[in-house]
Amino acid sequence: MMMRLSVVCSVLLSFVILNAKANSNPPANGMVKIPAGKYTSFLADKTAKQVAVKSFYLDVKAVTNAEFLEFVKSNPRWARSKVTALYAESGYLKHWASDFSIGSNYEKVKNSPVTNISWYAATAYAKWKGKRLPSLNEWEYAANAPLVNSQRTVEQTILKWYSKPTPIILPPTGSASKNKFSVFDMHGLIWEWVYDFNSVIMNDDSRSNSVNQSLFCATGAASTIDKENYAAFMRFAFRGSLKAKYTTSNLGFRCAADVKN
Amino acid sequence: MKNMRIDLAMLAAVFLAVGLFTGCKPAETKSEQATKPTLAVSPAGETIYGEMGKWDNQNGDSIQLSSLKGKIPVLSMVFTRCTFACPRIVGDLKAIEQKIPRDKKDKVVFVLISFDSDRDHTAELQKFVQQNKLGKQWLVLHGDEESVRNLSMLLDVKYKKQANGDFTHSSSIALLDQNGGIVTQVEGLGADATPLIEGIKAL
Repeated sequence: MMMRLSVVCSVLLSFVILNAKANSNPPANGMVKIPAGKYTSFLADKTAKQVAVKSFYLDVKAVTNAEFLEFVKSNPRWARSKVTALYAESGYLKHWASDFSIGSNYEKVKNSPVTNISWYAATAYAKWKGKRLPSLNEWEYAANAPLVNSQRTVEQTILKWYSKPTPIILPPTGSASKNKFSVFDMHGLIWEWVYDFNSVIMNDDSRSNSVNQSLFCATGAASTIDKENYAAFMRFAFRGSLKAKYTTSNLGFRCAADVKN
Repeated sequence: MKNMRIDLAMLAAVFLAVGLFTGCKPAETKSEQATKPTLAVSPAGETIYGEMGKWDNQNGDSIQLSSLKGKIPVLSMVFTRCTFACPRIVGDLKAIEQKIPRDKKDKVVFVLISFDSDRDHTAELQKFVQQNKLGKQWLVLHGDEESVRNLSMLLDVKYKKQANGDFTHSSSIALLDQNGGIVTQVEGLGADATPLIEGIKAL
């Protein structure tokens, strides 16, 4: 019975994968082509309200522990004991048993998104795959797409997720949500690194003179467009608080790639 | 009044967000984040010269940051079209230049790195050098987008390209040792440069 069920499942799964392939013409497995479009950025740019995003490829799911283990095995520089403190703080891959082993939790977490990784490690992984990290605008644009198979709006899904603590064992990728671009888990599973996360400049107050005059006369919050977009505010506040070497137990990543003309 | 309330809610959201994520960290990083965020200082003198990157200077020569080995670089990130913060950074650096002890004058190099990969090519950099009357101890560098982004991460500099091609950015000055380890940084325009000058004296 179990056997039959798993066969049915894998047939279904491969059907889904084949289907996705036929629709998207990806450069590699597991990516989908996101069409060019525009979105309204949460943080206003005084010279443009809508941000245009070119077509790009995006991983449909976040990078998993098992995938990241392959990377570390091929690039020992990124093993837990080898990585230097400039490129990852001490919590780097702390949920793994050792440098090249996830440990007894392997079966439980192999398909869960890898977390406790720094921006540098995520960037190195993407490069190794011949990919890159999505830009902040690409990520936000893809994440703004409405969800499918869900009664809830994107906003409701996020707020429900925010209200719960991060589970010790993260659920597998693909389990949280799916949107109209066929991209999974942009909300509801983990936070994700983006290439230019350090482009979020939210000043604490106008007395600080650390940024130039475009934010000089008010707090960073004055440049927000939708003051009620609590969920987006949380994402931007989080990014604004990050440094590239930081690692946290609910911050992972997915890769993107250029569409070659 | 309604707007006021929303602003308060947003402030609460920020504190909540910061609280949430520091909550996941060990105690020592928690206290670091709870106070005013500090800028990067190399752990155990770790060099930033390990980072490759494609750079060229105001003379059009391509260089590697590691060629600064043995020197004492004072680094800041700017862009030449900047009308507000960057001229003030240059002013701050010149003020530091005046205070360098004589025996360190040949060792200290002032390095300005441009955010503007698209527009700040050799001619622009040269113009910037002329306009600001930068001496022979000054290097102005152009790099590709990836090199600039990587360096900004190492220095904890924030920047964002605006739709008109200009940049919003944080302003800081970093002091590197002879091996490229970040000794100290000061943030803000017209900031007290004492840590930098004391740092130079000690190197």
